[in-house]
Amino acid sequence: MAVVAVVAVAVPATRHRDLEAARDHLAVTREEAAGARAARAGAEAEVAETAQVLTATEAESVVAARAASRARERLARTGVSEEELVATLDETQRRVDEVERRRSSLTLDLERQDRQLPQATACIDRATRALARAALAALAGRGPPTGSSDDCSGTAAAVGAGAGTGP
Amino acid sequence: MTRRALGRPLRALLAVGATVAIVASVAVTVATTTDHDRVRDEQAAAERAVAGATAGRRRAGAELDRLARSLTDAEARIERDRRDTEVLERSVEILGRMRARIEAVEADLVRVTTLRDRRQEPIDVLAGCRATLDRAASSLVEDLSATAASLHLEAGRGRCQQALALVRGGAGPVHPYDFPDPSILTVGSTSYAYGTNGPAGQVQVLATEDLTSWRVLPPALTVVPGWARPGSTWAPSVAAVGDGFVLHYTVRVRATGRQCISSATSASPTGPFVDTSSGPLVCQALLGGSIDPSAHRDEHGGLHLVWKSEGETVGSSSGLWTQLLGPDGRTLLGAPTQLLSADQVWEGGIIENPSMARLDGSWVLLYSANRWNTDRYAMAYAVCAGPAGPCLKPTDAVVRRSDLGLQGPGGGTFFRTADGVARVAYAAWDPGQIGFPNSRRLHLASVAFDAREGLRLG
Repeated sequence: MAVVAVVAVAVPATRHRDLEAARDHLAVTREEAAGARAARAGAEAEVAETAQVLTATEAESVVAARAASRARERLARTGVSEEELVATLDETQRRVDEVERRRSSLTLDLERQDRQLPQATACIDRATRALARAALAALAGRGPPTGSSDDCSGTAAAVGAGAGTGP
Repeated sequence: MTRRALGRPLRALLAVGATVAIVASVAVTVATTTDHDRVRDEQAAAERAVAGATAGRRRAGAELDRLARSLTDAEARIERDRRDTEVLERSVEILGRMRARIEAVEADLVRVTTLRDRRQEPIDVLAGCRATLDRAASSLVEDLSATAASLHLEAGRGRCQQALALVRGGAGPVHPYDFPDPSILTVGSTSYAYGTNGPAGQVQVLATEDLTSWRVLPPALTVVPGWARPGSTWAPSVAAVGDGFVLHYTVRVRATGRQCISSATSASPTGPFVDTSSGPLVCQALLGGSIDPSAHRDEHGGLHLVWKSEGETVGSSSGLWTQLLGPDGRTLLGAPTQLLSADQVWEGGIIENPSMARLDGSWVLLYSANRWNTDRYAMAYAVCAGPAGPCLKPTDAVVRRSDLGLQGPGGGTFFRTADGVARVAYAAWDPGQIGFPNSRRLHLASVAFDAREGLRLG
């Protein structure tokens, strides 16, 4: 009889403890589920946000691609391919340098002319007088005359050196 | 009995109690089991929820990774495209700028080259002329060859004519070199000009068919007679005589240093003239000598020589004379006659370089006066009754004097062009370039004369 009583008490108690433990575990699991749902919601929100950013970025990418395409079209209109661009830029820069050099040379020519014209003009009179003295001395059978146009000799050389430059 | 009587109900009571306890225990156990089952179900549901949420989060994470990669790709494309765009646009801009620069500079090069070439032309002309003058001087100094000098001068004549126009500006001389005391003889369609000694010889000669372009010829006279001093030949004049030509010219007598007039002959108007004389043709020693001969023919074909006496060299004043020449042009007939004297203040005691021509029925004597190497030197005229005078100076006798374009004009002589028109040749200094060793250049002037207006030179 006592055994029955003990069993009758012990079994429900044991079952009750098991129930309480299951309930505790359930509570924990439910908290865990709530946390997981919150995490999923956060991740989904981030996905949505990222998707929005991506959409905007894709749109921006399209714009950038169009801009690049337009830039390529403009380049094509210049008659230069993208592959030749660097070489063309280098070559064009060399041409710029070349024409600038030629213009600089011409400027020097103009400066030289500024100096030479009055000198050459004055030399005509000096050479004319030198010739007259030479004629007087030669026709009279005398020696070489004094005075010459030697100081003008640089003019002809300089003129010769300067001529012929430019395009 | 009592104990037995009491044991039985107690046992019954105990049995009832045990039964109740068992029933209660079973009931509690059943209820608990039911709750436990429910909790287990809920636990399973909760675990599924956890698993579902976890899987959802994982999927979201994967999606996020995918989106992130896409975003990274898109951003990379943007960056690349933007970089490309920037590089391309900048390149196009630079290329355009450089090409525009090249175009602008090349256009400028064309402009500046044209300007440079235009400015170079006068410099080349001047340098070319100077080289011509230097080559002629070298021929004279090193080779003592006036002939070689004349060839150099002819070769560079065009440039020197251009150079003269550049240096002096405007029209004026018809010849770029020194050519004093000119006289001109026209033979057929060619006019020959003879000038005082200079770079092209003792007697310089030019030739032209158009009175504009005068070719330099070799010297007409290369040797003076033994009694004369070389290098002092002045004021030549050539006349056609018979089948040949006679040159009258001034030369300095070696023995006395006095200047006198001699003559030479040639079969050609260009020479070479040969002087075989043993002494001067004209030499008025008491009057300081005789210079500046000029021969002309009267309406009957008679040849007359006019010249100057050098009175100013012996303390007197100079005069102009004339004398008839014989048929050979080298002998004098009769006696000399004085046509004019230096009696005007402006003449400064000097009249010279006479030239006579018949214009509009009148005999006109052209002469120069004052010092030849000053800007006071000028040309004037007198009207004569005939080749032998008498001559009268008009009130306003000067026909050419210094102006802005020339200075000290003189040595004028009449000549006739191929079509018979009378003109005057004379020499003048360039402005500001007066006196030896500067050049006296050849000028030509048209002639107009009538008895009332007198002589005018165009």
